[in-house]
Amino acid sequence: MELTSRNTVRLLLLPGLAVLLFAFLYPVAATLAAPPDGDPATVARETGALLTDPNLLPVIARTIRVSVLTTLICLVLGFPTAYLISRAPARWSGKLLALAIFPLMLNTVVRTYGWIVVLGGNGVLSTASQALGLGPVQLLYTETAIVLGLVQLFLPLMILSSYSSLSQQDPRLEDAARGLGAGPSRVFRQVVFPLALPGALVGCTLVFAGAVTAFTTPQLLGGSRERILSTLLYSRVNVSLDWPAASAVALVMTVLVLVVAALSGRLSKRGSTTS
Amino acid sequence: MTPVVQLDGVGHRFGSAANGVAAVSDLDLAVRRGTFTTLLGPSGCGKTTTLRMIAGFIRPTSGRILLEGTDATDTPPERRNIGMVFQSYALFPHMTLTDNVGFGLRARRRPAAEVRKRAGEALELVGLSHAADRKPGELSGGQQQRVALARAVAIEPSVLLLDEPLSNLDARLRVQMRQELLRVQRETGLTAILVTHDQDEALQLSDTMVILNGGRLEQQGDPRTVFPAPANRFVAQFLGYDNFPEVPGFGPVTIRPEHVRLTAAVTGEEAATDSVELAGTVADVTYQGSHCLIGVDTAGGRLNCVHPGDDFRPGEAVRILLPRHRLVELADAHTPAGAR
Repeated sequence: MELTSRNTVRLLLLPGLAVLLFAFLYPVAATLAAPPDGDPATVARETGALLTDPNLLPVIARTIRVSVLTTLICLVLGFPTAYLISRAPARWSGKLLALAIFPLMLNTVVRTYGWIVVLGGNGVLSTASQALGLGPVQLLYTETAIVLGLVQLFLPLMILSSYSSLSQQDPRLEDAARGLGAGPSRVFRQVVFPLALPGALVGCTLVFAGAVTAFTTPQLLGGSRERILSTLLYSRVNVSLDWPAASAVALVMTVLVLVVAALSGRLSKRGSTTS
Repeated sequence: MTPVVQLDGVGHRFGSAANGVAAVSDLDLAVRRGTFTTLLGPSGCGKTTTLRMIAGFIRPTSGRILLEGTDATDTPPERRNIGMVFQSYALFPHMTLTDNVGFGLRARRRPAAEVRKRAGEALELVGLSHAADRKPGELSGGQQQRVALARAVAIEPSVLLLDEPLSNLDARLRVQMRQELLRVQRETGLTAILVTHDQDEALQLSDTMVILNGGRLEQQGDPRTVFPAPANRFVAQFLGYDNFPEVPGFGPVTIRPEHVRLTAAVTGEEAATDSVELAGTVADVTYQGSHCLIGVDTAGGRLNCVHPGDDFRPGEAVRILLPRHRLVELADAHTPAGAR
């Protein structure tokens, strides 16, 4: 009986594994083993060049900076929102959650053009600032614009992941903590947040990975001036047609995401052994 | 002596003032220091709402709550010095037992050494010193509830509030834990208020039992006073007085099934002058080993009876003897709201 159910579970894993194998692991392995237009040695050389080229290092630094900032802002904005939704009366929480993930249903291009309208030289923000006598603001084609766009794009992921952890908490835990004399901040720091850490970390990993690999938003809001790895990758493939260099960029991006995923997994495990 | 907890006309309405639902209405209560009070009633009677108002998790919509003689109606729970034990235990799953029990003391910014010492003492009080470094998830339900009790006791609260703490435990453990609860309360000398729907629990633990129905007080007092003399039909029904017969010469009365005596119609014992005699027909017999539960139809309605033998069969004519001193006269004839 036990064996049967375990086998059934394994069978259920198969379709997902098959998709991952053919759509992810195989292309990655193939790219590394026999890159189009080159050989593994060329990719290795290109990777070395990417990691040492003084013109390209800022791109890597900017990618990390933008992604980390996006992740932190999403955490700071998303976690409290998820908390409020999870503690709202049942008839409200469903509607609020739907509202929070509504942006996911909009096309990224449409949403990003919205930001151009807001942030551009003749945009809403600039016009308002001029009306206040503060002069024009040019946020478009800056790192700030990229971060703003990415935060909006990925905030729902943070809210959803945090919510999944928070909604499983026994609300009596907070009552218990308050009854024992803990004020709201202590309740949050010592009970609510530590217990929801796994969900928040999943959210952080998703947002970080999404931010590193996002293309439309940084391309449209950062332009060619504020390149990050994903837009660099695109120009290597489509503009300079330099496939080995593109493979090198892809490799660095993948390693970056894997490192953060591993880090978050470790933190989560440490959280669960103390929990 | 000032009551530790005093409710003055406390009420709570859910929803708007105009068309909300009254969970508790105009409740007065005074709890003396060192006593064990139970709030008893069926689900929805307002007992948990009352406890949560005393704890400060719910604000009364009318009336005042006094703790140690001072008005605490608007004091948040974290400043009330209450020790609360929940039905779901509500232990912090990410902390060891020591850290759970020490939580309230750390919130009071006591020195680490004192926190450790007092958490240790509280765990010892409930017999779990050996598990001090374990997490709640590694314990059984009964052990978890003892940790929750230790955690509430460790802060030396002015009142211990217990919200159906035993109802998640199996029957045998529940009886054991009652003893444990009573022992801890006596040893610490704490004032305790316990919410329960279990009359046995209330009878065993209470110095004062408070019976609630539909958010209103039905009767309160020492169990030895309340149990033999329920004030009205609701209380009687709740305490297991199953019979509300019409007895010639009496107003509304009730009698416990174990006090109804059955005897054969023809050859049975003589009616004593201290009993009221009725005639009836056996309607059903439920065999229970040591006794039978027998339903008898009479002119004044159905009577349920706990009979020591198995010598009656359905359809048989019987005489029913109701000892006069066991007949309890009730204040009301009507069935109060919520009793059905």
